[in-house]
Amino acid sequence: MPIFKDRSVLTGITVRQAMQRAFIRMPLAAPIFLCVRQMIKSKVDIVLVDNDQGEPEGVVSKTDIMGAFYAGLPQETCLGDIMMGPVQICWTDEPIEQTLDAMKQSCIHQIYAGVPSERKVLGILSYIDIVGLLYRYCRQCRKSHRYARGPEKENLPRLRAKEVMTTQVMVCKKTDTLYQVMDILSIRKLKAIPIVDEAGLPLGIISKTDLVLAFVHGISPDSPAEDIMNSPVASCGPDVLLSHVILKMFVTDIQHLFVLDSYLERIQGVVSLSDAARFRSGTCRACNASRAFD
Amino acid sequence: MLARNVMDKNFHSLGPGLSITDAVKMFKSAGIAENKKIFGMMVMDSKDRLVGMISMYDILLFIQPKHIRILGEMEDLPAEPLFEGILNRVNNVRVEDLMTTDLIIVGPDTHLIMVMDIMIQKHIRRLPVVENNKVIGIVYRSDLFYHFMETMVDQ
Repeated sequence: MPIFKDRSVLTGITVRQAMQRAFIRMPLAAPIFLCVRQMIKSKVDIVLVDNDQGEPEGVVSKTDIMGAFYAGLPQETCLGDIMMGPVQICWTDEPIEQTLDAMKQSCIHQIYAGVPSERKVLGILSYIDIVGLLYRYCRQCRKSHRYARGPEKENLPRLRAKEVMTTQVMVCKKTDTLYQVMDILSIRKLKAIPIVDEAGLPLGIISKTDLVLAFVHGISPDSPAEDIMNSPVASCGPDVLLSHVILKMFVTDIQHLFVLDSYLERIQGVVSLSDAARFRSGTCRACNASRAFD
Repeated sequence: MLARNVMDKNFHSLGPGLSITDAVKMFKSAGIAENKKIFGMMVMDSKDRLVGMISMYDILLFIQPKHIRILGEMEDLPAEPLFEGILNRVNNVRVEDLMTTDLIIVGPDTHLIMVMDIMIQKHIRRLPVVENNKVIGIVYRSDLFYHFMETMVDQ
């Protein structure tokens, strides 16, 4: 019988149970624009690049494509020239907590799972899958707010956006060029950044997705940020429940929700879906996750 | 019994650089012009060359939440306020980003039995008919269906 020293919500779950089996693989010679098209269509951030023998040779992420845009490479450049390798593969049967630690150490948000010794990839595990797992787990938990009755329900503490948000938010001005936006995104390792007007009020958002699209649409990196930004900014008030924030991110497929002040004007902070994977600690009884996801 | 006998010569097309929002408007106006529902259109570049096909299904796939399986388990999903913004993501996306580029085409002299076989095997609803690198028509699954059924009823 297995004995677990620290019991948490994720104890006993293997990578296989949480991973997504669908992932995108492309050959070394595929051009960047086809890769972007595939990423947009399948809503993925990374693509596995195979060599001629069909073995995984490297990975191309939106960050790598943004780098190619920055460097002025043509969009016909083949993936082999911009990919990162070798591919990190975890074992499908290892405990998920071990994989999470490995992901944290290598500062990656997604990891391929399969048989490492044979260089075989069977699926992909991302932080969002973990959040999804917790979400489903905690919704069924009998100790959760959903099942509580009477005064217990009223007194159950619940996390709100302002308690979990990151308060330091970088912004760009609408007149900044895409070069400047990409500089900040890559130096600060951000996925998206709000664009503000002269008075500092948020106008829109530029994510890496918008930048790779600008690349294949032939937009110059000298263009101002306001040309490609997505508006309005996906946002919520400071007192909104975290469970609602996470649900909103799942439904609208965004990974960042910006928290505005109580006048709903200025950006106070940001909640990211990947950060939510941090709520994995805690046993069922004192469940942080339960409070997070009701 | 050839493709040219059932193809529709009045077809509509879209430019690859068109935004998805405009493409949806074109679907609607083409439907009104043809007096039937249009579920997919051919994408042609400025030189009238066929470069892809886009269907409503491609657009629906794009706007559906990626993690729909998690949401599917929830019976008490609050409907309205969450979905605002779900359509914002189409702002920067163009027809060329979502269109299918692996195209299957037929010639005007392709036999209808072959056309039917392609549609069934590949789950295709509409097939461009191309002659000398130029699109001359489109075969819809519904037209093919009525063509066969009417021949059968007449006999």
